[in-house]
Amino acid sequence: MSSRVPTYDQDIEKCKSFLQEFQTGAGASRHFKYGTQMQEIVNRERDVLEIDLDDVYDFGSSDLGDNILQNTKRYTSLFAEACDDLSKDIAVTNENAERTPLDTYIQHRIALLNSNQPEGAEVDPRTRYPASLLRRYEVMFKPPSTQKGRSIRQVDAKDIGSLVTVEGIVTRATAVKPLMSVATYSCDACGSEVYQEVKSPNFMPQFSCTSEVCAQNKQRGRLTLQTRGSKFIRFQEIKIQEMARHVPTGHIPRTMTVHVFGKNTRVAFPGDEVTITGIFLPVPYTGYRAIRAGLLSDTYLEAQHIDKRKKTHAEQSLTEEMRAEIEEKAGEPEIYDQLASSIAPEIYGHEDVKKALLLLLVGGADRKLADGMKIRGDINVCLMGDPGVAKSQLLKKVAELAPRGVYTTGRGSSGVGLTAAVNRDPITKELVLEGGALVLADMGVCCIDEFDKMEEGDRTAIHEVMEQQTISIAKAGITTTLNARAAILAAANPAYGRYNIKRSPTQNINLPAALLSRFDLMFLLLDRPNLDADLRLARHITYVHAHNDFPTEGREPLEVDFLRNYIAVAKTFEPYIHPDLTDHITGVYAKIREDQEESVDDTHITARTLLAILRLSTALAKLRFSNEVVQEDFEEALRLMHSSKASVLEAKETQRKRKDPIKDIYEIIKDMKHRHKTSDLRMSDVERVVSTKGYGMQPLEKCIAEYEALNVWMRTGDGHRLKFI
Amino acid sequence: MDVKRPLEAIDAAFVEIVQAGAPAGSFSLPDELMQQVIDARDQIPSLHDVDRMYLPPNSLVRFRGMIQATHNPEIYLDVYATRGPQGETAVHTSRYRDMTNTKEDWEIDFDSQHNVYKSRHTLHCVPIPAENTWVRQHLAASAPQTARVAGERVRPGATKRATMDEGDDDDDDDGDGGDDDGDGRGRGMEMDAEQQQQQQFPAKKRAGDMTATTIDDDGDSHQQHGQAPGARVADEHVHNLPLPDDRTPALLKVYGDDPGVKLHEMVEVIGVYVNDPTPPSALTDEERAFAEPLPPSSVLPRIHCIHMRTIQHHNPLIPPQLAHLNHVATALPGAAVDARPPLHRALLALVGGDDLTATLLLLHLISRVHTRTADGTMTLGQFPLNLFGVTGPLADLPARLDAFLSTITTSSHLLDMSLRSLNTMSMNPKRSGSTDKLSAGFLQLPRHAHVILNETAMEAGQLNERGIANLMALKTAMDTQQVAFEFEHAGSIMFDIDVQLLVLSEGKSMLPVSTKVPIAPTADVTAPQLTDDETDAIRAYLDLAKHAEFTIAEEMQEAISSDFSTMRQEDPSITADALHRLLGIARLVSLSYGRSSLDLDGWTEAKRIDAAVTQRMHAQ
Repeated sequence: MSSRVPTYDQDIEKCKSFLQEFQTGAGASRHFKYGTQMQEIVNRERDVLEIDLDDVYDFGSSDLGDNILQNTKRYTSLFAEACDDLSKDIAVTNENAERTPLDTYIQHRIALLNSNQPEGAEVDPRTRYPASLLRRYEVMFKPPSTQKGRSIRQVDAKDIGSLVTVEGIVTRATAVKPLMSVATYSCDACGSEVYQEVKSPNFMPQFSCTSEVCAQNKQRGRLTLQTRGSKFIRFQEIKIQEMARHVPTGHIPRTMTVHVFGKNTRVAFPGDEVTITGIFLPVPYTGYRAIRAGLLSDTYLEAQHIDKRKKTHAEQSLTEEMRAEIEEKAGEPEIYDQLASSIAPEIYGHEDVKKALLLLLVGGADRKLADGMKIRGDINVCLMGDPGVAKSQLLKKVAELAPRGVYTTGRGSSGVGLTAAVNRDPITKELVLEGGALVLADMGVCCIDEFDKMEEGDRTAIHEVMEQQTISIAKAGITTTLNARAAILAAANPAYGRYNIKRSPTQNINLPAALLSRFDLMFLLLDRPNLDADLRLARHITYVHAHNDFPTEGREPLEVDFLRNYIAVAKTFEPYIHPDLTDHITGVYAKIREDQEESVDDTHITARTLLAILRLSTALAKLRFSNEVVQEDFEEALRLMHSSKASVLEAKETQRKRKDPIKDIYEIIKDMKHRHKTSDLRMSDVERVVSTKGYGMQPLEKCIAEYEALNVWMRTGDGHRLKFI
Repeated sequence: MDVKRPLEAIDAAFVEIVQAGAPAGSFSLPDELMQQVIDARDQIPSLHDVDRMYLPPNSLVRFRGMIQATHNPEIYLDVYATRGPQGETAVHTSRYRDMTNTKEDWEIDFDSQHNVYKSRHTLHCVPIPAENTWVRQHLAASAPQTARVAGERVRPGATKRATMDEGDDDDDDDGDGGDDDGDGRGRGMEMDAEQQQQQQFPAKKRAGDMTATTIDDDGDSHQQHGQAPGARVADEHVHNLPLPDDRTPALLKVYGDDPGVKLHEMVEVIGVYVNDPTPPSALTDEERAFAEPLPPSSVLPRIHCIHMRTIQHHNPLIPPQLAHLNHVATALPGAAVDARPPLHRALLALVGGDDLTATLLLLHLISRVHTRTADGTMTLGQFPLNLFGVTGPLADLPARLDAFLSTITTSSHLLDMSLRSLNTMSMNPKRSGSTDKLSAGFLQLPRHAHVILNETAMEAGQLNERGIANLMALKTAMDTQQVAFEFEHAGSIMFDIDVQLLVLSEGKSMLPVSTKVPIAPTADVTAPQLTDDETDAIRAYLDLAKHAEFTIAEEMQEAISSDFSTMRQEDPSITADALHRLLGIARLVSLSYGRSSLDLDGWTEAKRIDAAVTQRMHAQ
C-alpha cells in the first residue's frame, strides 16, 4: 500500500465536488453526468452510481484518480458517503417510485422514533441507522480506458487493494444468493433494535443487546435476527481461468475467484470469455483460521464491471507498433508470397494451395444487392488427396490462424454434428438449440476434415450453408434460421482411398457436382513420384533430421501473430471492381466458356466460376490493403483457378503421356500470335497469358530459349518483345 | 548451518539486514547461506528415504520428483510486524514457513506499515512416476548414514505405529540392498493388482487401500522398509499421482520470480520441511467449500524450497548434469561396445531368438523425442513399436519384458489394456470445473519413461466414452508425444511428454503404431542372463544414447536425398513418412553403435531393417 496516507476528509470533499461539478459539453448543452445519476438514484430509477475513472482524470484530479486505482475499496465508501450527503438535498421528482417492504419498515421506525421525541426536535434518521441500510444504490467504478486487460498470471501481491482488469474464461458460477449486508436484531428485553453491518462473507451474529436502555437497566437482553428489517444484496461467486493463449507453454492456467454483487450477477456463465474489472482483495480470515494461517491470504476479485468479450483476439492485440510494421510490410512486393509461405511453414511446398488458404482467411467482399439478395464473400476451398499429404495439418493450421476457427471432422465429434441439434437440458429439462461446428464458426472459418465421410443429413444442410450461409432448423417444434457465415475449408480422401489414375477425376472425387461447384477452388494433392520434387522433399526432410530444426527457405517465416494481425487489417477493406476492368473480365470469361466447348475435360465453367474468380480478386486486393481490384489481382485469381484445375487435370494426364510444358507453352504463344494477328508480341502479355494457364516463369524462359535456338522466334527490344520469324 | 534448524540462521540473516537499514521487503537469502545449504546436501535427509515421523518439523530435507501440476500462487505476508503486550513492536520474516513464530502474548499487527505482501509459487510435485527399484536403491545407498537417520521421533502420539516401527528399525538401517533384488516383476504385478483393485471398486477405493496397507504393515513389513507407514496412504485422489506409488508427493513452495519449470519436468529441491499439525477437520465446511482443495500437510507435506534445480534424467550411473555434452560424446562409444552385445543377447533370449525384433526393441529402448514444432503439429524421434504374435510360448512376454525393463531402464511401466482398465482409468489429467480438483492422468510420465501396453489383456466388449477418449489419448501420445490437460468449461491445453510406447499384442495392434512387426521365434524363450557389471553398463548406455547429439553431414544428406528420390521412382508407394521413418531408424542404429553421426553403413543398415520389417509384414 502506498506509504503516503491520503487524508480522507479532504478526499470526501473532492468526491463531492467531482460528483457535483463534473460536466460534459458546454453552455446550454452542458450535462451534469453524475448530478443526473444522483437524481435518478433519489427517484429510485437507478441503483448503480457508476463512476467512470476517465471522467475523474478529465476532471483534473489525477491525484484522486490514482488514489482510487490504488485503494479502491476505501473510495467506494467515500463516494457512497459523498453521494449520501449530496442526495439529502435532492428532492424526489418522481412520485411513482416503487416501495419495498424495507422502505415501509424504515418509515415506520422513523415515525416511531419521531413520535418519541419532544415536539420540534426531529432526529435525522441517518444518525440512527447505518448508512448502508438506507442506501439504495451501489457504487461501481469503470476502469480508465488506458487500463489494459491483463492475464490472471500478471496480477500479483502488489496489486492487493487496487483496481485491476483481468481477462479470463468462466469455469464456474454459483447460484445467486442473497447476502446479508446489514443485519437487524431486536432485543427481547427493551425492544430496541440493533444493527450490524456485514462486510465479509462470514460474520459473527450478536447475541446480547447493546442499547442504552439495557445498559441502564443492567440487563442483558437477547437479540433476535429480523429478516425483514435486514438488508440483503444479490451475491454470486464465479471462478475464472486464464485463457489458453496467455499461458506459457508447459504451464497450467491459473484461476481466480470473483465475487459479484447486485447488478453484475447473472452476467457471466461458465464458458464465457470475460473481461472483469474489480478490486483485488485478500479474504479476511476469521476465527481459528486467522490464528493458524495468519500469514496466508486467499484472494478474490470484487467485481466492479464485467464485460463479455466480443472483440476478436486480433483486434485486441493489435498494437501501434504492430500496425506500423504491418503497413510497412504491405508495401513490399513479395509480401503475398511471404504471407502464403508462412502458413504452416514446416509443411513443404504446396505454394498455390497455401495462397488459396491465405485468400480464404482474408475472404472476398460480401455484396448485398438492392433487392436484398446477398452474394457471399467467403471463399470455400476443398483439398482432396491421398492420405498422408498433410491435408489435416493444413486444416488445423488454418483453424488456428482464423480469428474464429473451428476444426471438425465430417462425422462430427459430438452429437451436435456440423449443423445444429435440439437437446434437452439435463437440469431444467427445457429444449435447447445447440449450434454445431458450422454455427460456431459463424464469421470465421470452418475446417471440415473427412468431408467425404459426412453424414447424409449434414451433407444436405451444407448445400445451404455454402451458398446462403444460413442453417434452417425445423426440429422438435423449433423452427429457426441460424447464421453460418463461414468460409469452408474441406479435406477429403479420394473414393478409393488413394487416387486411382485408371478412373476419371469425377469417379475419384466422389462428391456430387452440386456440392463441388460450391467450392471456389479445389486442389488435388496427389502423392506421386517426381524426381525434382522428390529430391527437394527429401532434402527438406533430411535437413530436419540433421539439424533438429526446420529449414527456412530464403526468408524467415512471419510470426503467427503478425499473420493474424495482417489478416485482420486486410479484412477491413471493401474492394470493388473498377468499371474499366469489367470489359476485360467479361472478355476473358467469354473466352474461357468458348475454350471449354472444345476441351474434353470434365470440369465445368459456370457463372459460379466467375463469381469465384471475382471473390479471389477482391481478396487479393484486400491483401494489398486496397479498395480497388486491379488487373493484376484478376490475373492472379485466374492463375490460381487454373492451377487448381490443373492439379485435377494433371492427375488425369499422367495416365496418358504427360504433356511437355515447353511444348504446351509454345502452343499457347502460337495461339496468341493467331489471335492477336501479329507476329510481334509484348513479353509482358506473353508472361501474363502463360501464367494464367498455370505455368511459372521458369518453363517459359526455357521454352523461349529453346525455340529461339531453333530460330522460331527472337527476342527484341531488350527482351521486352517477342518476334516470330 | 544446522540442517535441523535452518530457520534460526535465516532469521538471524533477516535481523542483520533490517538492522543494517535495508528495506525488509527486499530480503532474500544471502548467497553464503545458500551456498552452505547446497554444500550441506549430503547431510540433508531425503524425504523418500526417512520415516517422516523421525523428521523434525522445520528441518531441511531433499526431495526429487516430477512436477505434476501447478496451483495458483499463494499471497502471503512476507514481512509482518507484531505487537507485544506492552505495545512494543518487532518485524519478522515469514520466509520458509507456514506458521507465524510470534512469542506468547504477542500478536500480528495487520495494519502495520511494515507489512509486505508477496506471492510464492506452489508446485505439486510427485515422486518420479514409474521409477524403477534399482534407481531408488542406488540413491538410498549413496546417501550417507547421517542423512538417513534424521533424529529422534517427533510424534509420540502414534502409539500403535510406533511400536511397529520399533521392530522395523533394523531394516531401516541395514540398507535397502537385499530384499527387492530381481523383484521387478513382482513389483509390476503388485502394482497391477492394486490398480485393478482400484479400478474394480472405485467407490470403495479408500477403504480397500487402507486394509491393504494394514496387511502389508503387519504381515509383510519387510517389503515396506524405508518407508513411513503413515505416508503410505495410497489414495491417489488425495495424492494425485499418475501411478500408485508408495512414496509421498509434496507441495513445493518457491519464493521469488516464477521458477518457470514446466509440467512433467523433473526437479530436485532442498527446502524446509513443514508439517502443520492442524487436522483437516479444523477447517469449517465453508472454508473448504471454495478454497483450493489441498489435502492437509500431514498427508501432503509442504516443502519451502531454498534451492531448486531441474534435472535432465534420474539415472544415478551417469553424471547428473549432462549440459557439457562432451561427456556423452566421449562416453557413448565405449558404453556401446560394452553394453550393446549383452543387451542384444538378452533381448534375443526374451523373444526366442528373433534377431529382427530384438534389434527393433533395442532401437526402441534408446529412442526419444529430439525435434518438435512449437505448435505440436510435428514431432520427431519417438519410435513406437508394436510386436505381435504374442501367444503360445511368447504368451508371458509382457510380464517378462516388464521385469527386464524394470532392471535396466530408469522408469518403466506395464499397462494391461483390458476393457475394464481402459473404461475406468484416465490417460489425460484434468481439472474439474465444479470442485477445482486436479486429477492426474496416466500419461503424465517423466521424460524417457517406457510404457508397455499389453494388448493381449484385451477382450471383446463395449468401450465406453472414457475408453474411447483414453485410446485417443494414446494415439495422440504416439503421434505427437503430447498429453491434453482437460479443463472443464475451458477447453484443454496440450503438454509435451516424451514417453516411449511399446505395444504387445496377439494380432496386429488396434493402435496406429507406425512400426508393426510379428515376432518369429526360432528358439526357446529363455530368461536373460546378465552379470551385474553388464546390467550396470546397459543402464548407463541407454541413457547416454538418449542424451546423445546426432549429426548428418552435408554430403550424407545429399546422398540420402538422391537415394530416396530414386527409390520413389522405382516404387511410388514410398512416401515422405517412409523417409522420416528411415532417417529415424538410421539415427537410432548409429547411436546404438555409439556413432554420433550418420554414415553410409548406418543408412544401409536402416534400409535393411526397414525392408525386413516390410517383408515380414507382407508375408503375413
